[in-house]
Amino acid sequence: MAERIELRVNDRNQVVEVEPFTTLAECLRNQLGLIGVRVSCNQGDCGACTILVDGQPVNACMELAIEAEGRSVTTIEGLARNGHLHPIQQAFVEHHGMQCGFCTPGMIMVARALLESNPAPTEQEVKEALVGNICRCGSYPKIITSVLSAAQTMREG
Amino acid sequence: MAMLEGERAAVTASAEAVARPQLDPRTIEAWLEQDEPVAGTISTDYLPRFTYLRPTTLAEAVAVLERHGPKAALMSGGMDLLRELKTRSRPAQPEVVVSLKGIAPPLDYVCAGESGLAIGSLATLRTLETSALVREQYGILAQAAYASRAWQYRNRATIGGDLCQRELCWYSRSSGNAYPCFRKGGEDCFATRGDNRFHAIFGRLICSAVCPSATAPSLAALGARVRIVGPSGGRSVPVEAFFTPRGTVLGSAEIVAEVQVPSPAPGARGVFLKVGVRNKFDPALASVAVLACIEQQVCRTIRIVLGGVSPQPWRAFRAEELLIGERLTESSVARAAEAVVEGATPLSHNGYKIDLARSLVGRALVRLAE
Repeated sequence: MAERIELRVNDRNQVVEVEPFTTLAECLRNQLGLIGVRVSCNQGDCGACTILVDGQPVNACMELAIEAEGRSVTTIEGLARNGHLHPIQQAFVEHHGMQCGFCTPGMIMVARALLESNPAPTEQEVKEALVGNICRCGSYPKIITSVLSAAQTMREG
Repeated sequence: MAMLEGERAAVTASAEAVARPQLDPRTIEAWLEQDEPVAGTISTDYLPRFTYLRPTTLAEAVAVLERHGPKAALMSGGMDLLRELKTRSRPAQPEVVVSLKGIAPPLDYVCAGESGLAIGSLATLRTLETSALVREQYGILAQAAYASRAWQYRNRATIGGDLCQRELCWYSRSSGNAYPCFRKGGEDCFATRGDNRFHAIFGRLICSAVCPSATAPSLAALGARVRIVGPSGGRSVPVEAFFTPRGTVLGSAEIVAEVQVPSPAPGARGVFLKVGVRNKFDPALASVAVLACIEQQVCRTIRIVLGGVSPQPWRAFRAEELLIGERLTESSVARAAEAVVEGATPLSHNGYKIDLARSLVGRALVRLAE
């Protein structure tokens, strides 16, 4: 039986009708059109669908939409401000932190959560934060460079 | 669990026809008939239809589980259950999912009591790894929680779920429920003659899968107990006795309510080490948790518990006996590490776990002596 839930997505209140077996990834993509939430393995292994729920990175494919009731959700679409890319997005562009780009939204969402709690991470800390995000192109070195560069940019304001 | 006779015959036939996990296309057809995909769904691994219940007390949750029997599945963080549902790897598809998130007061507490730590079964692994109390006084538990899996997983996975998740075996967990093994009421263990590189080298009585819990070795080393509530009231069992050669002691309507960890003795030191396929954030190929009291370089008490090598957290009693009353020297450490792997019964592809267990224990003891 479908249920009506309210949640805040990218700083806007949304009301959606979801089934108990609708995942948050399905809800965000199919009902709210946020296709930056990439679904790859759909089993919580690859991290491509990573979003922030109340600021914490989670796999959207492993969340039931009804359990997101009243939560604040941020997707990759919510990072840019006034037409300007977020510094992390900008760093990924400048340092070629992607090849095919499928894993990129998930990588950037985890990087965002990491830099929020740790503005000056070491390379090892970046690697351990990104352990749940798989890049099958193997762009890891440039992804790590991008995150470290974004951290520096954000610290310098 | 009930499975249609024809269905059982079909999957058995397909399991025999191929030597490695492979889906019978008829099984896929059967799924598609079973539940219609949600319109515009993004993947074939969609969740099956179910009713979602959110009881508000533990007693009510137990009653709901009793009422629905095998048709109900209990969910805490959902990291394991949702995967099982998506891959259709349960013997019977549950029709009711019972969430513990509506229970009041919430079960996600981590608090210090008189005799130790009380952890609500919904406390996430992330909470354990970041809690100052756990990090300072129960370090091996915080380290095990941190090394369990990725950040996204730890934000949702709970300690109750970590203890109750399904065994790690690619046969019993295969998509479409293709292998009717002991765990599913069958009469075979496919891993013993198939690909068993990640399976157990100790304590293989019925099933060869290893205990999936990331925190169990640390909890067992700390002497923790699991508080369970069920239809006939409550009971409490040591973590070591919670796991059985065939899974856990939990009855079908029983729920893990709390994990109780006694305060380590003053001066006790712990070491936790883990090796996974890529790094420590993978499920353990082998892990070891050691808790010891060392006075004037002599080992007074010690507990050594291994993960990833047995269907249960594997306590190295013989090695513990060898070390008590001894100084931790190169030779006593080597003797103890050798005693850990005495009596191991490796399968065709997992002999490397003997070397891994021996050297992990050796490294842990050396670190303890530092």
